[in-house]
Amino acid sequence: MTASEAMNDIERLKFAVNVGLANSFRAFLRNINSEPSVSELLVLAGSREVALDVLKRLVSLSRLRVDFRYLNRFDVPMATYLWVLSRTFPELARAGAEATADLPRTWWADQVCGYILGDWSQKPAASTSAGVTIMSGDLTNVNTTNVAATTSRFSIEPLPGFETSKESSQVKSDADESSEVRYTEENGNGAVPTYTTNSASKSLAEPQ
Amino acid sequence: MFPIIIGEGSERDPRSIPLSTRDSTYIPNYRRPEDSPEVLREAVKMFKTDHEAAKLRSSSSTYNCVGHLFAARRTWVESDHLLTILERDGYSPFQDVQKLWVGDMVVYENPQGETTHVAQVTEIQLDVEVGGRKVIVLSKWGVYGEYLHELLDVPSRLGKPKAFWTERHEV
Repeated sequence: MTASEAMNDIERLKFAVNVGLANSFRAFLRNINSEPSVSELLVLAGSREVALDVLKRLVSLSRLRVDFRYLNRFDVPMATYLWVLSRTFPELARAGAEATADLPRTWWADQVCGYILGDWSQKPAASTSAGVTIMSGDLTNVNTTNVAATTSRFSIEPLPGFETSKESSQVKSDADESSEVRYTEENGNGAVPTYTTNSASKSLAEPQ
Repeated sequence: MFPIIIGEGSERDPRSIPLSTRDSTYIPNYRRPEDSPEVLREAVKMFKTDHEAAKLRSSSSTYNCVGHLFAARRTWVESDHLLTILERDGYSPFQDVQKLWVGDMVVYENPQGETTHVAQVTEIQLDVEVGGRKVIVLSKWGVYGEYLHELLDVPSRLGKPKAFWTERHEV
């Protein structure tokens, strides 16, 4: 599977439905981590070139028009790309989070952004919160205790799988504006975007 | 106690609603935007294939299973808060499935031991084929529909029944 194929899969409705079977942010992260296309993309995004493509795609999605009556159709893919980047190139994840943090009508992406940008992780730990131990950075090895005390949206505890940048360096999101977004119909299940990116595009600003 | 609340979902967040346990502990919550009809339709289609017997009651993504049962479908409450809510609302846990009765809560867990889902018993049927009881529950499946289904008939990502809770008072 190529990175482009993985991203097309992540943007399908079927993917959103599968990972949307979650009643907490923690469960959502587990769900995306168990999707084969995400595993593929995680490996491929170990390459900076692919990671930059993921970031460009993320920024492209963030610029699509939003129907304000509903949640952003690409909320799940954007959250997934941010999470993948946070695992591979935290500085790119931060750039992506800064580009998408203020988007309206997002839910999962909003939570991933909040975490990457350190809204919660840089606060002092609460004495009542149980710890989350990350072993080998793998969700399957995450040891969580006292589910009533460990929270995600409202907790200041670190969440599994994140490799957030500790520095508060400013990274300017300057993704290629010439990326194209085209839509194709997917068996009547709604529009699925396919992308082509301009290889001569501007590179993203490096973190300071 | 709930962890310290920062930012979204807190009492100061205009997108949350006033919501407390019986002992007046604030329950963090957040009103989630509705998913588009195409997403909700896709979910209905997928679950119909895998869970043929489950009956869809309603399809909305503005609340989850905890919000369904403890906030009257008004808002989203993370499942991480569920056990605290049950305890502070005066529920007591039990393990014997034979003692389940209408109105009791079923808490689901994943293999990692995290609370993933909650359902409410709506009906106990006699199962003449096996000479036992069939437990029918109503629950909200993640972001998607609210289903009437058998106790074990949930998508695997919502976990398996782990404990039962009741607030029944005997006189």
